[in-house]
Amino acid sequence: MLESALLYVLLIILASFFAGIIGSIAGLGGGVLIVPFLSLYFKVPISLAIGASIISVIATSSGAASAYVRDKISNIRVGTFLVLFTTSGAIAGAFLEPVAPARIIYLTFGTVLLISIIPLIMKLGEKVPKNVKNAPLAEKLSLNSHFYDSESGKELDYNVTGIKSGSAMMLVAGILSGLLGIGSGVFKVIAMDTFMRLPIKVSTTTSNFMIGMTAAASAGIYLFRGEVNPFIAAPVAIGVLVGAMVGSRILMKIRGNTVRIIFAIIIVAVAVEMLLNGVGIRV
Amino acid sequence: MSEAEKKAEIEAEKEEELDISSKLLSYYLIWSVMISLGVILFGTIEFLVTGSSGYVNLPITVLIKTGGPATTIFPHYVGPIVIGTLKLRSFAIIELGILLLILSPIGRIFLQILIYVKERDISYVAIATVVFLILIASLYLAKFVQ
Repeated sequence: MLESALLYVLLIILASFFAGIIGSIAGLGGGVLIVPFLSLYFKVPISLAIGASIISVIATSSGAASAYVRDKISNIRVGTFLVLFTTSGAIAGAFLEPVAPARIIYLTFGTVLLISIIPLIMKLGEKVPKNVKNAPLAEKLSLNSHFYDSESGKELDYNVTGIKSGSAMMLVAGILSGLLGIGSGVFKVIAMDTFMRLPIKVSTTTSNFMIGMTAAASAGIYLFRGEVNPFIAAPVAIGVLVGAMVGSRILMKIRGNTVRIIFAIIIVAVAVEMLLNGVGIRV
Repeated sequence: MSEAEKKAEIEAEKEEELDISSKLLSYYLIWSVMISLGVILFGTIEFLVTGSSGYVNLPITVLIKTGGPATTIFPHYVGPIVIGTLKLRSFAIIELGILLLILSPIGRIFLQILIYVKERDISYVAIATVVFLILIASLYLAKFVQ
């Protein structure tokens, strides 16, 4: 029994390690990859897979954001302001989760993944969005800032717009986070990137800073409900943290475009898998 | 001193404050996650070495599939987690680490409130305080979800 327990733990740590790397680079919690992995390959019931994933989101967030905050790539002001909306949404989402059937959760997951591909591809080649004027609220809350871009070796200034639409999107992201047990980083990145016009590296790293707080708002609910199984959650959290710390170092060095392409392919594959499960075909 | 020089000095001061608060926040993030993960790792190793969860011992396959309100398998309320940890039960120790991990973002936002108070940034003191209250409320509301 113990040998198989050790193997099981090591396999989950290894898989979570890779999820942590990808998650920390793309501003996601990695849950979007861990939940299907646990439920498809290890046949873990979806509610327990979600319970483990939401814990791992906090680990990814702290592990990656520590480096991003130190190097001032994450915009803490933007993150703190938007967390207002994601945390309130997350509480609502966690209350809705027990009444959402597994199939719909699968379908929602698949759709979430497919939607997340669009902004990934659209941002190819862009570094700092041009012709962006500060929204009045951005001026008031001094959201605009600058960051050190390692590719060009320069400090780049940027402005912030679309506060209202961005905030609304964050509320949706929060609800999804509580409902699906994901950091819903994809939606956060879309909100900051598409609506608020932040530079892509700022969007993903600020998303990483935020996802931990969003997840914490619903994680307590999952814990008390007994859906955080220690035998599954422990190896996932350990693997994801180490992965996130490695990933945050990789992000500083590689070109954004390469990551986007590889990541888009991974997301398509997993999305198809989940959608098939949603319509009742087990892969 | 000219207007421009004064402005530059204020800017430089702001940058310095940002430097210090970024470092503080960065240290908090890494240490909070390291401590919780250390506790989780300790419990995991104890379980693998002793082969005992400290609760009802089940075959791996059953263990994987069992969650839900089964307190005989692992504790999932603060009281039983603390009691189990004091008795050095491996699954209680893992759940304690998980509890610390869940609480760490609340400590993070509290640290942010202190930073903004020190920077005399009233709007962000307000924003961070509301986030802090939402997170506290989420833990309280968690009791009512089934």
